[in-house]
Amino acid sequence: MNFLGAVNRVLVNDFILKGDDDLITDFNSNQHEGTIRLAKNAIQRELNALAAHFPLDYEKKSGSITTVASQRIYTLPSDFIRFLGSRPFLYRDNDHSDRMFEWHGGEDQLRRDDWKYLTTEGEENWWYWDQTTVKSIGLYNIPDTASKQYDFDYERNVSVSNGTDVLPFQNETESETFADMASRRFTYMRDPDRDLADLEKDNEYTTSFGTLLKLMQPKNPNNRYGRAYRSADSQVLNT
Amino acid sequence: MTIFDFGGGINEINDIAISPKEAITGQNFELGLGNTKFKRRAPFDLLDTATNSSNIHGLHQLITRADVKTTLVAAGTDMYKWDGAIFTDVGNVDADSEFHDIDWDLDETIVIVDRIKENPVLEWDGTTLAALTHGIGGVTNFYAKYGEVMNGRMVLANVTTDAIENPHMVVFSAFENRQLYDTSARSGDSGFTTGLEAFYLLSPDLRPINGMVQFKRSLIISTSGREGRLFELVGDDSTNYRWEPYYAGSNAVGNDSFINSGDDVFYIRNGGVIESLRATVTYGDVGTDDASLPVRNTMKNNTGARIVYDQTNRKVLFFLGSSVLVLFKDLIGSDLSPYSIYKTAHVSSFQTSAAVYMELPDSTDKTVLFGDSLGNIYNLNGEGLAGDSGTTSINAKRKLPLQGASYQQFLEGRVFYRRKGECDLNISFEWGDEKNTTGITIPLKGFSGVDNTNYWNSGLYWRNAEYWSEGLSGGGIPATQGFSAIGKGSSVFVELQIDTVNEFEIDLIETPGEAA
Repeated sequence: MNFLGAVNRVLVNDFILKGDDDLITDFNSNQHEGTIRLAKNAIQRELNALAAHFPLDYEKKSGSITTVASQRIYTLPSDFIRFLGSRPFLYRDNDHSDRMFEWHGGEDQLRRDDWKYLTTEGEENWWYWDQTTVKSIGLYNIPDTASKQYDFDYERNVSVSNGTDVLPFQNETESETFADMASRRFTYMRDPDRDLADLEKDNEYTTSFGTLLKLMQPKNPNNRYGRAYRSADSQVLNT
Repeated sequence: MTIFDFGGGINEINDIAISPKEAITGQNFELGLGNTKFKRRAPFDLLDTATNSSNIHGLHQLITRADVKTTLVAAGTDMYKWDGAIFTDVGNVDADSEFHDIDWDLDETIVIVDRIKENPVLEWDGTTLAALTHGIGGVTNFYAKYGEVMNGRMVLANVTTDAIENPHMVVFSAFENRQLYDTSARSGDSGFTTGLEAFYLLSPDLRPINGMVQFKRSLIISTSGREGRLFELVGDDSTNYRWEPYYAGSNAVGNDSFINSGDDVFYIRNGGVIESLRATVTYGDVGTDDASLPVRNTMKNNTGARIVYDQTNRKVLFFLGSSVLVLFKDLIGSDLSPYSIYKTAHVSSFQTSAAVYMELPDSTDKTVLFGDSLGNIYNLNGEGLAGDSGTTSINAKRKLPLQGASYQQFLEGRVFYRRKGECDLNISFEWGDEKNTTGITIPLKGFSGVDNTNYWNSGLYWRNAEYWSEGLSGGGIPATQGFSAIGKGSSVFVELQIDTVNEFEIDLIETPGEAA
């Protein structure tokens, strides 16, 4: 399901599109411009929240940098959010025979440990986060040899803006359930008589949220682990 | 929640305190008794083009007692007999004339007068067009602006004999003889013995006559000028006919500003006000007699119009030059404005020197015909499927009275319509406070084609051609579409506009706001 499809599902769920209304075919339709804008915001906000809280499988992506002699800073891919995992590293060489970890303590510690780190060239053994306007890392030592490739896994940006942008879910079921969550947010955003703060107490919203998380699980949870954790159907099947 | 339906016409009095059923401006929409919908007017059809392609300035019809019908068309310097397809030249006329005809059924002829008196009075007997035989001694050319048949006499007003102007004179033919007049013997002449003689009368205030019309049992003349008046004909025969005051202060303007609409006479007075004669003679110059109250801005300072009463459709049509103000008689007396305005993007622009309610030459259907400067003759109540004259779409508009809005993120609403023809409904919103305008376009669907709705779809549930889908035979299926317009403010003007050759029908529009 792409972003346009999700907006349509939100609008149909909330009875915006009914009767003789056609599904929208792009975001340029001004007939439903007001509700389209709101539906897009509802979906983006839900997606941002989900991506911020949970590592979505769909976010995982591989990238690489290639050394340039005497170059310290390397820009990461434009869709880079953060490295995958809690102790990220880069694979050294093309055969992934070794790993390059972050200098413990980052650049702040490095400048105290080796005050010549900005000029010292040699074999690169560590990376550190470079604080600038784009996502980038510095290498220590500064490479003295060109054309050495380092691969890494990262969480990519999964935000959606164009109608053709695909929602970051592995199948249609997950996408539909996510759109149902966004529908409830849309309802609360659209209805001036509802308090958006009540959204997380909304049964429809929490049910969809729980359903999505269960769908995204790679395996069934332990059937003895708490009745509330399993759906009613699962409980029946497992008793 | 505000529900807009469209039973009323244009009301320029106030943009707030009028009915939400009315429009503060608009054009090309139709009204009618019991109608509550936004519908476009009928297109006008091109019927034919005069051979010389010159300005149409007269349309006339003679129907004999044997139902033999002949139709005359004055185009440029020619008068044609027209059977709906072929033009036959029957005589020469002055190209600047503005002709009107009067039936003289006694001899199965029509008498043709000229509002600008460039052409002598003519008569047509179905075969020959000739100058009217008048019998006035020493006079060759006899001109008249107005004519009526009253009490067995042809009555001609505002006359000229050769070069002598008598704009204040009304001549009465001899009894049952349209061809005998006398401009030297006044009514009550001492030489009259039988009461059947021809005679003349002058307007009592000696002002030029600018209108003559029959109303109820009376013949009324109007005099022009700053203090124009109305006078009523009284008397029995040539020995005692006279004018008596009917209403002082009528101040009618123009050459052609009177129309009998069945139960009333409407005329235009100075300032561009359309007066009801019935109300005027009953109440005087008060609001009640002002039929144009809802369209004062449109009519302001109007100096006359070509007026036609379409008895079939009960409309009074005021051809104003580049538009037609339409008074729907069925709405007179209701709480709603009875006015719409017809406009067109077609080159004819409703500018005409001849507009007449008459039968079509090739049928007994009565309609309104009008001509343009290029010799084209149109049927105002056309049936074409390709717009005005078969070429030009009709731009229908209604601007609704001000309604309250809110500072919510957008304004939602729903359009309830009938599936007639495909067209785009454009709605513009002029927001108060924010001082900006936003717009939306709703594609109204036609009655043909497969219906790909979100719910019932071909092949999935109710199958095409069997229930909801293909065909939707007959059209007129009720349908709805929603909209959500961006913008916010304390209030909003909403204007609906559809520019199409197709027929459409909008039942109502529902919005959550309250009428202001």
